[in-house]
Order: sequence, then structure tokens, then C-alpha cells
Amino acid sequence: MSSIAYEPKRPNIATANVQLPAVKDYEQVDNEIAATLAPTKAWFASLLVAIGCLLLGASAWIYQIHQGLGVAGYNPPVMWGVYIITFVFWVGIGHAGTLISAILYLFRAGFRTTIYRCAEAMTVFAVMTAGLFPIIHIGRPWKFFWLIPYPNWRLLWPNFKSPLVWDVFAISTYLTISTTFLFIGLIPDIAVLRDREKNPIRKAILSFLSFGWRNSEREWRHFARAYLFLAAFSTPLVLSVHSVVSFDFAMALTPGWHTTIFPPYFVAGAIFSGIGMVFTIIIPIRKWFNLKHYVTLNHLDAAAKLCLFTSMVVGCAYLIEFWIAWYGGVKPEQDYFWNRVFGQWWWAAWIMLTCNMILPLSLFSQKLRRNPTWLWILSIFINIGMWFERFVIVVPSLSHEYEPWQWTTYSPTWVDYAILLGSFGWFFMWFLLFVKQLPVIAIAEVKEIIPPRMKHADGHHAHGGH
Amino acid sequence: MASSFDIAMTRDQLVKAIDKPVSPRLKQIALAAALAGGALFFYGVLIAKNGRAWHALHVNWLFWTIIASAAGMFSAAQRITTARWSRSVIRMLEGFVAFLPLAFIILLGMVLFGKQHLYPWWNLVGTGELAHEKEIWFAHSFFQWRSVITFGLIAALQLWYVWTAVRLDVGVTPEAGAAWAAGIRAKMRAGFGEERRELHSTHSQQGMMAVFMALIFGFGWTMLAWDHSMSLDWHFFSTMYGWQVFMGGWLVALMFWSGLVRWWKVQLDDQSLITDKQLHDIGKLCFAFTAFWGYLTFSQYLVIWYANMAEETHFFTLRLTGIWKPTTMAVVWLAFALPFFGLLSVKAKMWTPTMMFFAACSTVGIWFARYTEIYPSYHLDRLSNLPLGIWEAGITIGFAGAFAYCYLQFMDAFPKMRVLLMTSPYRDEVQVPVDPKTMEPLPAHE
Repeated sequence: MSSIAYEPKRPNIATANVQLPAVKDYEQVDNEIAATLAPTKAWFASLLVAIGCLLLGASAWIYQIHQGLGVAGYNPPVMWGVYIITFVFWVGIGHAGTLISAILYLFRAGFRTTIYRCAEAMTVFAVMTAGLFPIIHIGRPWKFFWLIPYPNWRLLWPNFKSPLVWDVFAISTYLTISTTFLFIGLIPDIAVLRDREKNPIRKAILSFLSFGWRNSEREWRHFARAYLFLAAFSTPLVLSVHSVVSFDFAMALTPGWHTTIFPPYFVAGAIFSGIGMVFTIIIPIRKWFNLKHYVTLNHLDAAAKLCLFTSMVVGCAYLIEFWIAWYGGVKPEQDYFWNRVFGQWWWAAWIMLTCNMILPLSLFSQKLRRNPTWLWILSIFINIGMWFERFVIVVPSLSHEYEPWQWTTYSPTWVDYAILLGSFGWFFMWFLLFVKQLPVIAIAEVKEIIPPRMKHADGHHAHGGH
Repeated sequence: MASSFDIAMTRDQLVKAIDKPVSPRLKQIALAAALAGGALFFYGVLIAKNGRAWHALHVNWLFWTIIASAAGMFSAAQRITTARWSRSVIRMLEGFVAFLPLAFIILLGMVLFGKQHLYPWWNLVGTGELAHEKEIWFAHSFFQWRSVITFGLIAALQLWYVWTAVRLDVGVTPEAGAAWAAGIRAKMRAGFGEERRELHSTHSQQGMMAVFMALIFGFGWTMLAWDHSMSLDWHFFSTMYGWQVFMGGWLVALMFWSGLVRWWKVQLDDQSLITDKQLHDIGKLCFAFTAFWGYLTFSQYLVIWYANMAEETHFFTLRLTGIWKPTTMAVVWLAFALPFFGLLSVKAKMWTPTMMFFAACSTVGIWFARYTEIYPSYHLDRLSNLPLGIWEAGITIGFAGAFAYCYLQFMDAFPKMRVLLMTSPYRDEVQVPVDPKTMEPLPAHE
């Protein structure tokens, strides 16, 4: 039996030569990632489209405020429609960011390094988008502050037993922590931009935002501890936020809603949809900004596996719901699930099942996992499928409750669609502004896996990164 | 570039360091416990005719079998995520799967001979007392075949997976280990080719197997939990039930692992093979899954409590009142509250006495969770005293002994660490996607 000595210079996953073979040194990282901040014609065109969509949505909202909520497609008892569906959709999108940035950080998953910044920014903007919808939905947006518990002279408080109030707490906490987490992670990168900046006004702003970062060992130590702490703090929030959103439904005695699996199923679905949106965003970015050697096929491959896993969890939950509806023997539940798949709303359910359960099975193929074009196309299907998942949860249940005389239908109007489109405009406007102001790939974390430049760059002196 | 996961020793040194047989006395004690528990069970079933012997068997089968199966799944999860940190300690968890063949035999006994004692609905099938859906689902042959095939598939896949992992190490180490497995080792060595080729082909094969294992584990244990636990109260149904049950087993598997890794660290010649960082990582996993199990359990409870529907609340009302209340509260304290708050600090995860204390709490807590899921469904509110005595303690000791005996026999027969993945010069080639034919990394980018 041969005796094979340990050879310490074998490649390993934590180093750039395997993970990012085309990234050689710090200067290259600074130059290539900072280059993404220069505006291009395509960026201006995209921003124009986003703002156009936003203006359309804003106009529709103004029209709705003027005319009253009746211009939306509500049809009693279907009093939750596109706005609540879209609210849940965007909260879900906001999930993958924290999963990728916080949970995968705690798990030391290498593939997150180059995609997490994008996912984190996506989280913040998605939650900002989601937060608009309860306000739009209440019809009289100027009264939204009634949801906030504050001392007042009539001692009127929101109903703390209502999951809708839990939502306010869960989502505002999530937004606060996600934004802090995003900002803390940005500090060393902002310092890099500050040091390269020639314009004195921008330099002053970047200096302020980087908190006077000097790259000292002490700062890095504090930074690492703060980042780890926030990652640990954010992790339970990933579970809590969408669980609380799921309680909006699960606590109600409505067919198809009251089911115990909703909390983890909503969380898995949210992560699934979030990863879908990460693909939608990161694949064009890596192409248009020449970042293919940062966001590598190996990273996409690993993220696609996560996508497949969450798809299977969601699929398992769908099947369990169907099975329990049958096994439980409760007639309205059985009717509801039959109606969902073969009745009035069959088309919506089959869009959901096809996009969320069937098409992601293609990711069993390694070739397809490493094909960015397919991943991008699939991500669009996932976004559509996950929007329809919420449609299937909200509309068929409300339109087909216990009393048959109440059974009805629901058709969104142009106002609903315009506001839905406006939400995409709002989200992408913020995202596009972000990618031109701040680095879309974490400069500091990429540098962590690249051998630092040493005074004597021979094998004896070179050692691990900071 | 060296990483903290690498060891600074040759393969021969590693093999020497881990080639230490388990104390025969320990195996004898485990076997004696297993035989005593078995004898008590057969005495209860054949002579005393006490149904509690079957009930205790049922609780323990679920408890120990999910632990063994979760260990196999955790090992597969390490492959899916191409984890390196666990290479020196994962075999100490993989050994749990040695219990699966015995668990399969016990399951056969349960569905063939214990059916009338174990499944309160068994004699109601065909009498018209059950709802139409239950008549179909509980049809005797359908139930028996479903259980056997589902668990058989889970066990077979997991054993096969562990076989492929062990084969890599047996193939590159000199013949050693318990005599009973000499034939198995010889079979593993037969046809073992060039090291690099074997590493890549096995890694590729394991990648596919691990994904199917995850699927079968998730769906399979969900269904087995319905059939062998939820169905005992056939009026109750909860979509979360299966996930909540098998994640409890997953948690205990990690808690056992945290203890066993410490034990092996003392047993093996070179204690540097298992680092403090690994102990901390396992402690973090124990903490994380304590939180996750608590989340699942509380979510299920909250939705049912809030909705307050009779067909659901009766399940919890029974368990939160009368004689069952102490055991339910024991679950809350032992499986969640104590380990969750106790394991928050780094020191508690690293210091052996605290980690072992909380691991023991969690283990006992999840055992009570299985007990509380099953026993009240048999006895409802008909008893004045908690049915927790010699039958339950004796048969639990028997299962613990059988589990330990299977585990120790396995660990005595095969390398206790992933020798090849720790010492091969090619070990890190599998950290990125590789073409298994050419053994070259796939292009990192277009």
C-alpha cells in the first residue's frame, strides 16, 4: 500500500484558483468590478423602461384613490386579489437574499461569494416593494398608520391577535435588518470606491458612507464580528417573516388556507422564488458587465441545485396538501382542491404546477444547470409560477368558500395589472440605480479568496489571504 | 494553499492512528442490553400478553430508526454540498445506518405480527366505521406493502450509499478490522481500480444517489410518519406532521454525533484528527436544528390552536391534559427550551459536559415526543397513571443496546474516517464540478 504524503498546495474550494481561475489579483478585482459603475446606454434604456412602468403603476394607483377601490377587480367575497398576491410574491422574492447572504455565509458555502451582494440588494428592494401593497390594498392609504401600534388619546390599538398586525412587525424588522446587513457588508467596498474617486463631492459622500474606513486590522476584526452577528441575527428572520405571512392564511378557516404546513412551505417557496429572481437579475448582469469569470458556471450550477432542492420541497408540500385534503375526508377541502386543479381555476393551478414542480426538474441535468440561457428562461417561468402559486392560494379559496351561494369568480382589471407592472418598475428602478452607484459583486469578499500580493511573491512567502 | 480541513500526516500514519478496535467489553454490554430488551419484549408479547410491549416497541422503532436514517441522509447532504469540514468525522455518523437492516426486520414484525396491537384502526377496516378515504388508505395489504416498500427503499439506498463511501477507504487501506466483515471488505476491494479514477467515479455516482436519497427520505418519512404515528388517531390530520416527526430524528442524530465525535477523539491515537473547530461546527448544527425543530413544532401547534377546530385540537387537548401533560411539557423543556437557550454560547457548545448535558436533554426530549405522539392515541384518557415503566424502560434499553451494537460492529469493521478523502492527492479535485470521464474540471465560465 503506497504511502502518499500530504501535499499542501493542492487546489481547494476556498481559493480563487479553483473558484475564480480567471481572477488573478486585487487590482484586477478593483478595476473590473468598479468598471460596472460606469453608466451605459443599455442601462439608461433599462432605467427608462423601469421608470415608465413605475409611472404607469403610480397613475393607476392615483386613479384608484380618486375613483375608489371599486376600480380594482374585487368581487365579494374575493376581497383579496392581485394586491395581496403581489405583496406575498415580493416578500417571497426578498427571502433568497438573506438566505444567500446570511445562511450560506454561516454554512461557509463558497458559491455565494459573487452572487450575494446582488441577492441582498434584491431583498431590500423587494421588501420595499412588498411594503407598498398592503397600503395600496387598504384603499385609503392615508390611514395606513392605523396598523402601527402607537399610544393615542382614545387608547385604540391594533388587534394584536391578528396575523395582519404580526406582518407589520415581521416585515418592518426584516427590512431593518436586511438593510443594515447590506450596508455593513458594503462598507469596505465603499472605501475602495472612495479611494478611486476623483470627484470631490462624490468622494465626500463615499467617505461619509464608508465611516472613514482605513483598512486597519482592528476595523476588519470589528467588521467580521458585526457581519457574523448580523448573519446569525438575520437567519431566524428568514424563517419568521414568511411564516408570519403564511399565518395570514393558515389562521383563517377558509378551505385551502387552514393547513399546518403553510409556514415551512411558504418559506421554501419564498426561497425558491427568490433564487429564481436572482437568476433573472444576475445572468444578464454577468453578461452585460463582463463578469462571467466572477459569477462562474460553477456558482450558477450550485445555485441551481439549491433552486432544485427548494422546488422539490415546494412540490412535496403541494402533494401533501392534496393528500391530506383527500385523507382528512372534509368535503369542502376536497372540493376546493378538486376545483383548484380540475375546476374553475385549473389553468392557474397547472401554470403553478408546471412552472414550480415540473420545469425545475430539468435542473437534474448538469448541462442545463450550467446553461445560463436555460437558467434565465427557467427563472422567468419560476417567477410566473410563484406569482400564480399565490394566486392559486388566494383566489380559488375566497371564491369557493363553505357557502355555495357565495361562490363567485374574480377578474383583475387594468388597474390591478398596471399596479402589478408598476411594482416591477419600482423594484427594477431601485435595482438599476443601485448597480450604478455601488458594487454589485462584493469586492472585499472576492479579495478574501485571492492570494494577496506579497513582497516576495515566491512559493515560500506566499500564504493565505487575510 | 493549505486549508484548515487538511491534516498533516501520511496515509499510513492516518490508518495507524484510527486502527484501534472497539473494546470487546463495550460490545458485550451493548449486546447484553439488546438481548435483555428483546427478552423483555418477547416475554411481554408471548407470556404476559401485555400490549405495552408492542407499544414500547413502536415508540422505539420510530425513535431509533429515524435517527439511523437521518444519519444516512446527513451524510448524503454532505456530498450534495461537497462539504470538506466533516471528512474526518462523518464516518462516526454514517455508522448509524448499520441499524437499518435490523429496523427493517422489526418493521416486518410490526406490520405482520403486531398489526392488531399497534394500529387501533386495524380491526375497523371493512366494518363501515371508518370514513371512505380511510377504508382505502388503511386497506391491510396496501398498508403493509406501502410500509415495507417505502422503508425498504430508504434503507437500501442509504446502505448502498454508505457502501460506496466505505469502499473508497477500504480500497486504499491494508486489510484490517473485525473478522465478521472480512468478506465484505474483500468484496469492496475486488475490482477497485486506480485511486483517482475510483474517486471521481464514486463521487459522481454518490452525487446522483444523494439526490434520490433526499427525495426518498423526504417523501418516504413523511408517509411513514403518517402511517405509523399520525394514523393511530385516525380522526386527526396535519400536513406538517411528517416533516415535524422526521426532523426530530434528524436533530437527535446530530446530538448523538456530537457525543460520539468526542468519544472517538479520546479513543483514537491522534486527537488532532478531530479539531475543536469541528466540535464547534457540530454544536452549531445541534443548536440550529434545535431551533428549526422548535419552529416546526410551534408552527404546527400555533395554527391548530388559533383555528380551534375540533378535529385538530382534540389531538393536543388530550396531550396537554391529565396524565399526558407532564410528558408533553417534558418535550417542550427537554427538546427545545433547555438546549436552545443552553447552546447559545460558544463555550456551551465546546465544553464537553455542557454539550453532553444538552444533547442528553434533547435525546430524552425527542424520545418523549415520540412517546407523546403514540401512547395517548392508544390509551386516550382512559388511564389514571402514566403508562411509563418497566416495559418502556426495558425495551428502550434493548433498542439502545441493539443500536449501539450494530454501530460498534460497523465501526470496528471499517475505517473510522474517510481515509481517501483526507489523504489523497486528488481529494480536492472533486470540490468543483468535474467530468467523471476525463477527470478534468468543467470550464468555470464561458
